[in-house]
Amino acid sequence: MSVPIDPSWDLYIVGFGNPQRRDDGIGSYIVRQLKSALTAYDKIGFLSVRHPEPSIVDELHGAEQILFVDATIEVLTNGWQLHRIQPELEMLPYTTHHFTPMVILGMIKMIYGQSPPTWVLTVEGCDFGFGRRLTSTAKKRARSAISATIGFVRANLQTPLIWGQTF
Amino acid sequence: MTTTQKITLNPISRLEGHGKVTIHLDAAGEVQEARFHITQFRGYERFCYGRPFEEMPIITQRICGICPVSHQLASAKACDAILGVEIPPAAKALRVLEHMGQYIQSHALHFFYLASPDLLLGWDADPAERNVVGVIGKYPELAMKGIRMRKLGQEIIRALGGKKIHPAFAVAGGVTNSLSETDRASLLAGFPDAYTTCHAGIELIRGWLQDHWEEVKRFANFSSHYAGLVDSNGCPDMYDGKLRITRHDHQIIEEFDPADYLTFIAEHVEPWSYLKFPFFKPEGYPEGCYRVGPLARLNIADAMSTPQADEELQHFRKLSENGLNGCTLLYHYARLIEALNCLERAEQLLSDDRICSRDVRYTGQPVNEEGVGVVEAPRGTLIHHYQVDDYGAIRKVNLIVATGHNNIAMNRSVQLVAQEYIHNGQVQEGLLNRVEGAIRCYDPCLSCSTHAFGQMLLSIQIYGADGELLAEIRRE
Repeated sequence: MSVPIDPSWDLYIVGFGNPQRRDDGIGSYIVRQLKSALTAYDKIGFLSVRHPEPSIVDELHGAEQILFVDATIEVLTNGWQLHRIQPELEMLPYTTHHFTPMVILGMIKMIYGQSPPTWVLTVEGCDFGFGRRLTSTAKKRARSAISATIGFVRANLQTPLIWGQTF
Repeated sequence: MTTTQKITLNPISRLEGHGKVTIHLDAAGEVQEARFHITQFRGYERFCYGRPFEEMPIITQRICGICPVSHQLASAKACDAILGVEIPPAAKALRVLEHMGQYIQSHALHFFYLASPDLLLGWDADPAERNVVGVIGKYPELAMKGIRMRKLGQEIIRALGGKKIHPAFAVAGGVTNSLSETDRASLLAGFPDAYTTCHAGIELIRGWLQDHWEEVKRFANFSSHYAGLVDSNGCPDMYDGKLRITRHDHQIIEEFDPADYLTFIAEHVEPWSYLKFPFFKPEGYPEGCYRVGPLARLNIADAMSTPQADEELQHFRKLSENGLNGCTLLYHYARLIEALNCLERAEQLLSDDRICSRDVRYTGQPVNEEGVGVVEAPRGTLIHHYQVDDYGAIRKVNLIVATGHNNIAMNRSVQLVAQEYIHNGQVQEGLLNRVEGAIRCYDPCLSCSTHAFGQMLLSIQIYGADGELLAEIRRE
């Protein structure tokens, strides 16, 4: 048995991270920029939260597609990466502080019987210490990622991409 | 202590913080003592020295991500006392509303995310499935309702303090801002669903208690005192009132101004835990064991302050008569009755036009060198006690948090469960799950009580009479 879905968003963009820990705020920074750049689309939802938490399942359940945005300490080619993710329920963290986008997607699938196509945009950060500003390097990477993501979103909302495509 | 065998449980899951249990056996292989160790230290009481007292509500709420509002409120009340002010009525109403929001989110989190896996999937279900995701898999509608009920509480906090966790709201002399009419209307719209969910939870726990009544009566059931704040009608008061301590048979032993807590409460220190052991001073340690939190608040209550919760209290009383009010598993039921009480109270506050008043703060200079702020946090009585110098800089801080008050009781609960599951040195299957379950009833927040980092993980170590480690049980 699952809960019925009432689709209300073509796309939901969710940024993760703490803006008071410098580059950890990449997620919310990118969400703000995308919100400004995509005003022509009234069926795109935007949300910024500190970390993936179960309550966002309720926000996301009506989305046709989801884009998560997060900072990473991993070294990435070009400083950022956009990749498709699948629902995950095998590796459950001990607490809700350690949920991942894949687990959130898995919860959506369990509750609503299906999960929407979902991508994660990760941007490499440099400094995660106290502070409210992104480092210049992270900001440069974020801008590059934003530019590509806007193109990706525009194209995707006109003609859905082949799922699994990776930049 | 002469023991020869010892069991350690490490880590404990689905709690907030880290913990370890050691079980010490005697020469016959029977449980002689069980210890619930808290192994982290953070030291808020020390590093707040020298800070301006007005900063305390912001600093101390960082103790915990689950109950920051309680710390903020207890702290703000202590600061009010230092300022020597009575805050504006609207400010008090808004603080109470914020607190109700926290209760709703915290109790929903505990019941639907942490406790329900044991109740719905069974104590002995595979740990890989006995979690919130397992509940979602089998009961998606209930899980979703639980998530939404928690969200209502979070939204109340966000509407007042700007964010769901660590809001900037209660300050010395009042609160930072008023509530907008738009937010008020938006919040009120969320109550019908939340009531439905809360009643569904109550129905669930009542059914579970009925189906498992023999185990409930046996499981970590013991006599203790109970403590909590009550209003002038003897109803549990989460924000204010007198601190009442009752015996197991509901007889009131003491009822006093919480600022006088040092007359009645002292703290014992054991070398094996960073968490102190508060006790009822006139009876000494450990005889002066008392419990706090939902079960205690219902046990000390003459009535509940709202109609639906009061009706549910009558059922609770029937269930727990004849001395069964000490059954630790009744914490889960009591928690949901409180959630219902908080929903009703929050709706009452939001329905009153005065909640949007803009007169929400008094300012001034410190006139007292000492202030005590006490509230009922979701897990129990929370005490903040500050002393300041002539300039308002902090000279001394004493924090007694809910999980601390329950420390003796949690150790006793673990010991009772261990005594049931270990005989002749043989550990029966299911010990780890039930020890975890006993601790989980108290919903301990070890991050608060010891000011620890991170997640709660439990291991059990079993030691023999000669001190040899016989077994270690841990969740991988």
